[in-house]
Amino acid sequence: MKSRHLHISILTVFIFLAGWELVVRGLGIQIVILPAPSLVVSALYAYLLSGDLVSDVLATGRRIILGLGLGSLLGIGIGLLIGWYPRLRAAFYPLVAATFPIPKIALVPLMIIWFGLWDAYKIVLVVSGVFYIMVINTMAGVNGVNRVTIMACRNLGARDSDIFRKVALPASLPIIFAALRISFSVSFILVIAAEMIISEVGIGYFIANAGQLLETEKVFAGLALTAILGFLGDQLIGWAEKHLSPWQRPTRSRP
Amino acid sequence: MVDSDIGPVPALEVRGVSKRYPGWRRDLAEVRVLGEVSLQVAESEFFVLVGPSGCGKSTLLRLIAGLDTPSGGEVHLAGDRVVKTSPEAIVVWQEFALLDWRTVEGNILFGLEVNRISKSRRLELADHYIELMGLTPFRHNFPSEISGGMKQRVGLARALALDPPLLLMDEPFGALDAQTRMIMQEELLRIWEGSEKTVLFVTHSLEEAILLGDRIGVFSAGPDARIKEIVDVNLPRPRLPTVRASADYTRVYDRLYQILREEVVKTISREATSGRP
Repeated sequence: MKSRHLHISILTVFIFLAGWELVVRGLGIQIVILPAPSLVVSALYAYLLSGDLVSDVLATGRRIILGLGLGSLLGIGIGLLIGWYPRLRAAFYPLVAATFPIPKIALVPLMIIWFGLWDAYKIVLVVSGVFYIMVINTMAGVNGVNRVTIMACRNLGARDSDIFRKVALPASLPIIFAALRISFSVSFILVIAAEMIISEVGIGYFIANAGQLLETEKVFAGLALTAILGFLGDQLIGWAEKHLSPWQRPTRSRP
Repeated sequence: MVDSDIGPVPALEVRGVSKRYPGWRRDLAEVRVLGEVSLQVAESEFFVLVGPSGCGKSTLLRLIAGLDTPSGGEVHLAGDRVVKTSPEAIVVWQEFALLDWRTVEGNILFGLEVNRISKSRRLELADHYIELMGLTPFRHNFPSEISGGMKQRVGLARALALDPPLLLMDEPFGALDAQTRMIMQEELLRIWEGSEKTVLFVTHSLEEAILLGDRIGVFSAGPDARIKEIVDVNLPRPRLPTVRASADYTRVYDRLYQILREEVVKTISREATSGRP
């Protein structure tokens, strides 16, 4: 999205919300079916004032950050190793490939049995989702490093450890970041789902609870909150990417 | 015999080197790329290899660089047998092979870093070669931000910074446009003339070969490619682009063309009968 078209984007959002408000009021749609956006905003405001919004965001955020952090560290590490060493790949890739297709949400009962009802279960669930995405993409990244570039570096005197650290790792960064973006959205899905299943704090818990009480405006407030957090999280990863792989930035005009 | 006696210890000696690759499937015949190639290049000589495409010129360069092992024969650099790749013979690649995530300066520093040269010395050397190759305005640019000619200047600066006695240039200007190519040829000559370096240069272009080389080895068509003939270029140095107008130039060109034409025709007719390139 180019910022010089920002006013168009804002206008579209405004028209969408105004249309929604008018349709709901004009047709007299019941709150429980579809609340007007103004009601959603006031529900969000009440949510903020109660203090629950902050504690829910902190709880959900903590679970995502820990799960995403642990899962991607583990995934990137193992992905680099099995991407670089054919023997390790032969040993471990079949195991990864065989367990990858299991829908991670199906692990919930097992995770609850092993890790209890609270934070640990949710974090491990996120780790399980993030891990595979990171392993498979990192491996592909390392594998895809240009052969001639590797030859050139060996010729210049680089040892295996130099090539691993100074060539394979940076060459894989763009793919690793793309995978991190996907992992972030997956970890968001898994945390919200896990909180809906069982929790006492968190945005997923707030949405599920509001739904059970037929407080539809609160459900929408929760959804709006997830949209905002998702957007902010993605921006944060984009910012980190720009700083860690600056060579990917759009071409500057030649001096 | 294609190798002549040129001094006591040649900078580069290729002794009966051959290269075969196993078929990529067990039931396929092995690919015999190089027959027995022998070659001696004297210190500070500029030797050019030309030949039909796919004849194995690049393969030979990689064998000399120690990036691949010959199936038979030996390569010696200044009398020492090549067993693995080393900064004694640095390749300048047609595809540049730069590190996209490092700036111009970072790319030149890479070879110095991995050879554990001290930091102050590294920066000093990088400065010198950035200056020498006219890269100062692009010092902090990434490869994606500079032109092909500039990229190959980086490739050359990166090689020179390690001060290798032998430069192996694998169609280094093949990816550049004609004008940039001419400038790069001039610059390469300027740098080589001011150094003691031995250069082995692979090209498709006969013009380039004659403009640059002291001697030109013409490859026969593969499989089992070998050096068919070596042509001396007795043109005065320093050579200017105007050398193209001289009678000597035309004589060498015609000679090379005659030899090469036969081999290229062989390659084409073989491709036509096998139905694949």
